[in-house]
Amino acid sequence: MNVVNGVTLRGIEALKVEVEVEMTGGLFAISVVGLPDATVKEARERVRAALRSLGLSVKGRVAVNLAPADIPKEGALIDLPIAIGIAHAMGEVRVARPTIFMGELALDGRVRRVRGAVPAALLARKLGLPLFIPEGNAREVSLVKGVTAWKVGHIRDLFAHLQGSSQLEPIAPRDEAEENPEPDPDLSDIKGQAAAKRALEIAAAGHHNVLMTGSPGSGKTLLARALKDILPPLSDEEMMEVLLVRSTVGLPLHSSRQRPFRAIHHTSSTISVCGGGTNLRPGEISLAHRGVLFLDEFTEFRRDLLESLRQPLEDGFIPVSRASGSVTYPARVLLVAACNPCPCGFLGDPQEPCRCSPLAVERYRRKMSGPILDRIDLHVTVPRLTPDELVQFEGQVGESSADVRQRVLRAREVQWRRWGPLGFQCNAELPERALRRQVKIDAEGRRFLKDVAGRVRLSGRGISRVLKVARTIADLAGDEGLTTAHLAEALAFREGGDLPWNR
Amino acid sequence: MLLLNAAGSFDASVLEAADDHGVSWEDIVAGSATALDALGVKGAPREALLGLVSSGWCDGEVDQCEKKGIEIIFFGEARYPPVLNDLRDPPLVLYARGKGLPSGDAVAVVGTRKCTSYGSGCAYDLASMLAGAEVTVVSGGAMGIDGAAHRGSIDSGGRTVAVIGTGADIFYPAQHASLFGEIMEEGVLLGEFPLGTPPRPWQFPRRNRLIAGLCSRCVVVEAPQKSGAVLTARLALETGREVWAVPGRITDTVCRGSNALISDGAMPLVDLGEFACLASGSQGELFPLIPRQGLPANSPLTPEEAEVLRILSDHGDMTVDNIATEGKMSAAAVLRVLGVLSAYGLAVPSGPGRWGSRAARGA
Repeated sequence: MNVVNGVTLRGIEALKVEVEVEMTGGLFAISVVGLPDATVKEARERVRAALRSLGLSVKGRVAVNLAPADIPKEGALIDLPIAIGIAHAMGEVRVARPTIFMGELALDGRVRRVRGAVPAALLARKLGLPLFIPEGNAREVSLVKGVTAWKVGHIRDLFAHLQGSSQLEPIAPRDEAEENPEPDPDLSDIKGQAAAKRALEIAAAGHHNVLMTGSPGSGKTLLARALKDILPPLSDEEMMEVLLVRSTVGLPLHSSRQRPFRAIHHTSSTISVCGGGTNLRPGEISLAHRGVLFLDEFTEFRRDLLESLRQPLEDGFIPVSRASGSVTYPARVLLVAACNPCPCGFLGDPQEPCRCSPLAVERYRRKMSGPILDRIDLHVTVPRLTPDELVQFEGQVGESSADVRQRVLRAREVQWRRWGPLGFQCNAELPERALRRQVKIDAEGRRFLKDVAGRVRLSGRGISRVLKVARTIADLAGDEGLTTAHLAEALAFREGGDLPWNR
Repeated sequence: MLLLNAAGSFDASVLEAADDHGVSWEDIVAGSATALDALGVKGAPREALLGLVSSGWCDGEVDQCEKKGIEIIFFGEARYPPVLNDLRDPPLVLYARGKGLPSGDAVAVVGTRKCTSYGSGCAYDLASMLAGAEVTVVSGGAMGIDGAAHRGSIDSGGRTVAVIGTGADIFYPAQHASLFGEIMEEGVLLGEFPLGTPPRPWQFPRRNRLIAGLCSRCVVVEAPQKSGAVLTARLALETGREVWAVPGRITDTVCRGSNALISDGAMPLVDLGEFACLASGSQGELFPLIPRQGLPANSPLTPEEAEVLRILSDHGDMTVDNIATEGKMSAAAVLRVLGVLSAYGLAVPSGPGRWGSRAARGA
């Protein structure tokens, strides 16, 4: 049985790669077979130099086979197992039982940080194998519980460890559970904007996607950034999912319990947002998994990009298929979109005149319609405060993010208890049928909704959205049934409810 | 007549000239050179006319109109609106699409396409009150003020006339296709241009004289200094109609023209209800504020709603924070109230995140 193993990544999953080495006499050559990519082929030089730095010169023909042979292997993380495999074949070290090694080698034998350490740790845990990882990856791997792992700074130390002359430092499991970062920005730092703050609270509580419309400088981006801190902190399981994606792209660990916030620019390519490329890397939407995805200048986004966001918004994962294979990345995000009311941005502003022709405004508005708008439950407009108003609000201290989060947590719990048995977690996920059967409205509320739906020309889908949002508002208030009051507030956030100022 | 109209630059005065010179219809239609010379027709219109005569365009046009349900009204017919005779150059032909021309008083509500929320709100309210008083609203079917006026009239169950500057089979602007559809249900689309005429800038001033002719009072809601609406007002004045203007903020360029009209002697429109009374010819009778959009009869305003409405009508242009501070309510409560008020049309958004009250503008 082969004892030296490496890993390669497919999506956010690590696959075990067995490293077999055969050495025969002859002129020196190392050949690597088993669908290696360019980085793996180049490993030959790094491995030889690193071994030489230990005074170990490789002679003869060396054949390295990476099994299974039909999976493409990628990345420099396979340097270390190849080096160990060669040393093992030469009899320099003895690997007693199957072990997973990962790491990129420097020419002087140092072991460099690689991406994919967390998936590798999860694999090692599943297979019950010991794991050797680069020192630079120790912090992220320490968050994976139940894995036996050692960190390697230099290949010399690893040799000593395997030869039994000294011991490497094992990685102690670390619990970052209670680390609670300061909200940045805190809701209480944002002056005014009560309507938008309330919308964010509802969005956080029911996992509703939000669209904010407002003039430039009204604080849309700030508000979107505040949302991540009023969402409930990541659970252990969610944290691992976030860690997994970040580790896969090789991003450094971020403060652990805080939900991710990713802003994407409208010039981003579809691949950078959805994932893909030759290596099938995860995209921004997966990096925002369990957190907030912010689309500023929503109307400027290309239609095909928005189109490709639709499915993941619904499913919570995104399949990426290319010629080199197909993988699935997680993509459960809370979408926050922001846009100006018109091309120049000052339509309806009390101070700055709008310079757009009605046709331009109309065209701008039309861009906003489309598939993704159907996934947005909350529409809110954000006023650009006048200097007078800014001064007026200066002294006021609003609620802090922590207080709002308490309410959000309570509302989430209520939803979880109610919908858990039905198989979903929050109000935004409610399918049409459950909505109609399970959401109870009192008689007066029903009359009110019927009356109003006719007056403001609410579509069937529009009514469903009002109902979902009203359900979340009721959950925030701790009420069991829906009443007129909840429906009325939800109506204030309906699509287009805030836009008829250029009727 | 259809021919003369299509050839362009002819109006009813050509008929008088024909009478004076003893030229008969048949001669013109046959394209007789002597007849045309006698009328002094030469150059491009003459060629256009001859071209149309030889191609037999006339019958095709009539067929088309029948197929599309467009009525053709000729000058001198009983159906031809008599008020248009007041114009210096009444059109020879009218294309009408919809329920037919409403009789009775008509008020023109005109203004700029690039209006403010205040302007469109005023136009909407004014039109809906006029509709409540059974006064026909005439406008140009354009974006902005025109559209708001038509919409206001329709929403209150009134009849409205859209005078268009294109062929009657073309909806321009295209965004108003559904609005035009609704106008045709009770009111009428009216135009003088042959079918298929695309929008061209010079057609709209011609269209404006029809608006001026059809109304008995012309209200300019918001118009910059050089605009079609101001032109309409001048034509209306020349035709002997009353000209009114809604006062606007003196700092706004979109109000320069309408305010200048007031300073030139147009009547300032300061009370919608009073104006509606005047326009309908009835005295002192109050009309329902906004018929379709009031509160339902069985649920009066709650104290909270009344308070928010009061704050909005006192100040206007308030953010949710302002209202919450002023009314000592929570933001959620304010939003709740705004949800109800906006659904009933009593509170309207005046800009991103800002609210005003409709009552503040109304009577």
